[in-house]
Amino acid sequence: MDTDKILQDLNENHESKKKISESDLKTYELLFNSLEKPQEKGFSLGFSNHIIRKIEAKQQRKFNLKIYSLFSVLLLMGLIFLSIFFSKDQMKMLFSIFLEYKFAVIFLLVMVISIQLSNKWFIQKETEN
Amino acid sequence: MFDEEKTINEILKGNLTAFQRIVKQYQNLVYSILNRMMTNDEDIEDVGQEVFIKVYDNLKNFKRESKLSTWIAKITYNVAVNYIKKNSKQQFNTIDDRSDFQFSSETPETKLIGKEFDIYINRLISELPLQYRTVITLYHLDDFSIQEIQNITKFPDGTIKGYLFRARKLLKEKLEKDGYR
Repeated sequence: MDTDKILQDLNENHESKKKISESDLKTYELLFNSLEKPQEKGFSLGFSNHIIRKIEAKQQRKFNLKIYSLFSVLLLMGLIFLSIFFSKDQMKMLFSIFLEYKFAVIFLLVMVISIQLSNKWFIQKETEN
Repeated sequence: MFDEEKTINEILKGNLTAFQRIVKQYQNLVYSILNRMMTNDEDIEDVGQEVFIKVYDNLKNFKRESKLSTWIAKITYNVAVNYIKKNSKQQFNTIDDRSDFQFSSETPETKLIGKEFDIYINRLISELPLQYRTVITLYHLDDFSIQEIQNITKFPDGTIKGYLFRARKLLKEKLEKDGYR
């Protein structure tokens, strides 16, 4: 920073408006030049990648929440539909079908839950690194 | 060349690679503010991430009334202040202008030059009251005007000038005491 600029700056922001002596100006020049030097330290190397991964994880969580909410609404609507339009006998028949294929249904549910849990674990691991 | 307007529009369409460009462009600015306001390197990294996630979440609300750098600096300042208020015992709101501020750093045995002198100045700045070092950093290192600093910190115009004047005067007097004339 040159002397004229320093003088202009000091006069603009100087409270007392006193005349600045030659020796004061020299010290200010030394100070201003040092103050304007960029810092050598900074964030870690993978800083921007880390932020992107965190945002992606956040977006994934939001998406999952939407999907679960949608699934819950559909399930609730289905149950309401069944209770209104199905008679007791039809319900019994439906339940017997479920019992017949219970292992397949349980296997499917366990698979869905384990996929969801492992996905959550991987995202958490990735965000931590 | 970095096209700010185009990059913002790309981010608003969901392009995360464009946001990574914003992070790379402004990470030095965010670091310089946090480094002067906070002391722990790990906290600086965590708060820096929080700042950029906030920038991403609120970019749709950026009205382009100020420069993007000013808006990001404002978010950085607010996040840092909240963090300090929550986690640190240091007083943020009050500075006693009557109190006789003294630097604790001793006068170096030899006259420092170059890098060593810059390190010494940075050490002196880190001893200044929080508001002084924030204002001096925004003004000198990040090149913001008084109006922009007012927008970032919400300090009145006269207060900013007062902090800047006193911070520079304290540093100048310490340098003179150390034999730099």
